[in-house]
Amino acid sequence: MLFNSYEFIFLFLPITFFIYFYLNKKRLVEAGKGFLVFSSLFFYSWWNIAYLPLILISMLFNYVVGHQLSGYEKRKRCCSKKAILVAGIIFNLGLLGYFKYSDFFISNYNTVFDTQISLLHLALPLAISFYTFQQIAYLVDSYRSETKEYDFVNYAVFVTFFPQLIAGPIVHHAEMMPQFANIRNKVKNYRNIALGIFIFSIGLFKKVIIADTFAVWATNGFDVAEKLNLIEAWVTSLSYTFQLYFDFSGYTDMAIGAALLFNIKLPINFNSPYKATSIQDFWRRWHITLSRFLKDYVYIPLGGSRNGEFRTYTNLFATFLLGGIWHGAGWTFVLWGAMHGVALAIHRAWHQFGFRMHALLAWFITFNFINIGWIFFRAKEFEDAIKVLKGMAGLTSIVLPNALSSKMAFLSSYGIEFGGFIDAIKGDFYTFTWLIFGFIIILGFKNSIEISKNFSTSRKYFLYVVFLFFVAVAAIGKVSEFLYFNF
Amino acid sequence: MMKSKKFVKYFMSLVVIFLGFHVFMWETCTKYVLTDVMKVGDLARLSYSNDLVDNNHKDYTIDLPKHHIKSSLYDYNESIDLITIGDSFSNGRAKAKNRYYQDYIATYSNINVLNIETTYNKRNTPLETVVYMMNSGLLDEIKPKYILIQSVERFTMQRLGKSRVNLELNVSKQKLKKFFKEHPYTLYIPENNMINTGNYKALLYKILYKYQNDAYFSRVVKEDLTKKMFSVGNGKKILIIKESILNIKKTNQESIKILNENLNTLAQLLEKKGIELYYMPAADKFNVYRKYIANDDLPESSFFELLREQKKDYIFIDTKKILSESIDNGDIDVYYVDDSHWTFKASRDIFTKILFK
Repeated sequence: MLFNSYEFIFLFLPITFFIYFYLNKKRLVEAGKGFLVFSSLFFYSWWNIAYLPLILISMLFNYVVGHQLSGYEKRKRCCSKKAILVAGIIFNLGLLGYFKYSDFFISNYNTVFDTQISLLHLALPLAISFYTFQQIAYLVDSYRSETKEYDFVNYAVFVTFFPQLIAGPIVHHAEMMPQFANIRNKVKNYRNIALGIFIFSIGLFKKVIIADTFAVWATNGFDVAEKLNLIEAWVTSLSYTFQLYFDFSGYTDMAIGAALLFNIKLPINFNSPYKATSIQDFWRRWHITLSRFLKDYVYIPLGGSRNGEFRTYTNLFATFLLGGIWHGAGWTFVLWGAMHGVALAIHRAWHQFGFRMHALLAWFITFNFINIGWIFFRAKEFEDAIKVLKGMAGLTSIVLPNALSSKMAFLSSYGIEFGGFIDAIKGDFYTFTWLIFGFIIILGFKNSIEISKNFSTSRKYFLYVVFLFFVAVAAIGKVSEFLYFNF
Repeated sequence: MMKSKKFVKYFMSLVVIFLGFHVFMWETCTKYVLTDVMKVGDLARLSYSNDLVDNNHKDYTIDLPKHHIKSSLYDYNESIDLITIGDSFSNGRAKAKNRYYQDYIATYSNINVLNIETTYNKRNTPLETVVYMMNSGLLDEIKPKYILIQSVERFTMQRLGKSRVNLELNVSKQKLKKFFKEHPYTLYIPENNMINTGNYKALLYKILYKYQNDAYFSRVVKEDLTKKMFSVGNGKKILIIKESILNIKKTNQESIKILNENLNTLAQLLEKKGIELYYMPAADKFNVYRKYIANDDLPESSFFELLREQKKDYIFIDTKKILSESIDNGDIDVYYVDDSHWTFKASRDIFTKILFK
């Protein structure tokens, strides 16, 4: 079930909301929590019920391990606390590795050693990357005595709470469970409901109206990567850059908004990342909870910046290499992670040497680096990414609009053509309008979280909500009659 | 500033109204044109004219004894007399009963007919695809006696009459065979929810069609006829795709000359291989019914009239002449009232007269 679907917005969410608060109103608090777990698992299983046993097993295992770690001092143990933690982490990473990376390892093994081991073709369980990291964080926090959970239903709520289950934000047990335990949160809070609807509407609009518009050109462009001329290649890469941001941040807004209906505040995940003036600044603004996880559970345990400059650079590189791998089982993801690791190391060195850069230039370099990085992130194969980059460098062809042919005919002698300069990606005049619009939004406006800080139940905000919500909801069911009109 | 509770209640009230509107429009109008896609005409769908949906679309039988072969299913073992290639008219969009004109050809002329379902690379025109087939040696392998190129009138100029056809187009025979095998004619049919943007259009068009024959924004023109020509409603309403009116201006002496020269050039080349070229422009519904449309302000097409005057090395199937005779003789439903394609009656009438010996 997608957040941007009618069954979620008009059926699942209101039904879950009303029953949850009804049960709490009747002081059936445990039943309310149980119902929340049930509906979250229902939400998860809607995609494919075959995935359900795995998340249940993972949850049960981590609950038991976490329980052992939390109450370690009170009981006799056969092994050290650290050993239990390591076993727990290995289990989680093993599960993730098996389902997500098996075929990647097998195909590379076959390539290197010239063998022909069959691929497993395992279906990737939904959200496994997220709930794995979330539970690893829980185990480490339990080990550090920063949190504890003795109630399985509570633990299940923490892992499965549907707004953040599928794609984050990656939450900490210590930031979630006190909210669920807070007695004030068992009662409907109309202020939170109003704010939740507002943030949800912003997210829905970003996803359905903005992201899905850019998705068309991005998809078309990557499908014909070898044919892209200079303009088409740049439009393709920028379209994907915008698509990814508006899609992911829109999804996060919907998650935050939906959670707020239940009086739960999820951590923010995006803070205008494309305004970043350095790569370090970018990672403080993009997928913030992932950065937090990587910092707290990978970078700092590796030693962080405590063991000299060389070690700091390698720690940065290793952390982001892992971050790249986490995103997907492919060399393009590895390369993307490595690129960011190297960039962060260079940034650190730059600062260490005391160099500074004008903010506009810094933004320009940062944005373009990120834009280019996303090409590897999106491309199915390394070669496809190179094709797009070639196009962006003008090495495939340069085609200008026909309207310029009379005034710039001399350019033909340099190999520049005139004609359908955006045909391959099925773009038109509106493509450039949308790109300009995209830049204005990401650079000129406050982000959804900043906007929501000024939220009030005034007529102005009511009209915003009505516009954003109903325009987006209508667009979910966009009919293209001409698709049938087939010649 | 209102209280939060009021804010939420007003918002929920709007949600209820929103849902109510969609349920109402869906149940009264939209579902009749947006579901059961194969059985509702394109023009009814585009204009949300649920009152003009032709329920005669429901019979999908093919009761002709001999059928054509599709290129995606052809294994090159069977001999072929005629190859056809065209647009949706050549791919069964006559819908309903006996929807392929090729089956009428196969039956009445008793020949084997192969239909090329998709033009090469999906971007090339039928003419260019035939050139590919010729230069690759595929025609030498199949050895047809005839080739029939079909194109709907309103798009003919941009497909076949825009510029001289490139006779150097070439690709390997294997690649071409593989392409035809892997690209059957397919129709993407999305599913629609009850809540969809079509509901807004349905309401808008219901109002606007009362004031303007194209509802200001629609791609479909609704006109009255001077006599009953369809079996739906009172039979005196017709739906026309706007392009068939707008594209009339693309037809002129120059463009017809280019079209004719392209066809002649191809016909001459095919003749050297012992293949006769047939060209069948599918007359626009608007053009065939024009003289019976009550509104005299609409333009008239000169496509067929200009093409008739040209000297031809190919055989020209004058669909306008044949189908005009049919409707002049009182035959109704020669085209679907709610679609821009013709019915089986048109295919039957054309290929009763045009026989391949």
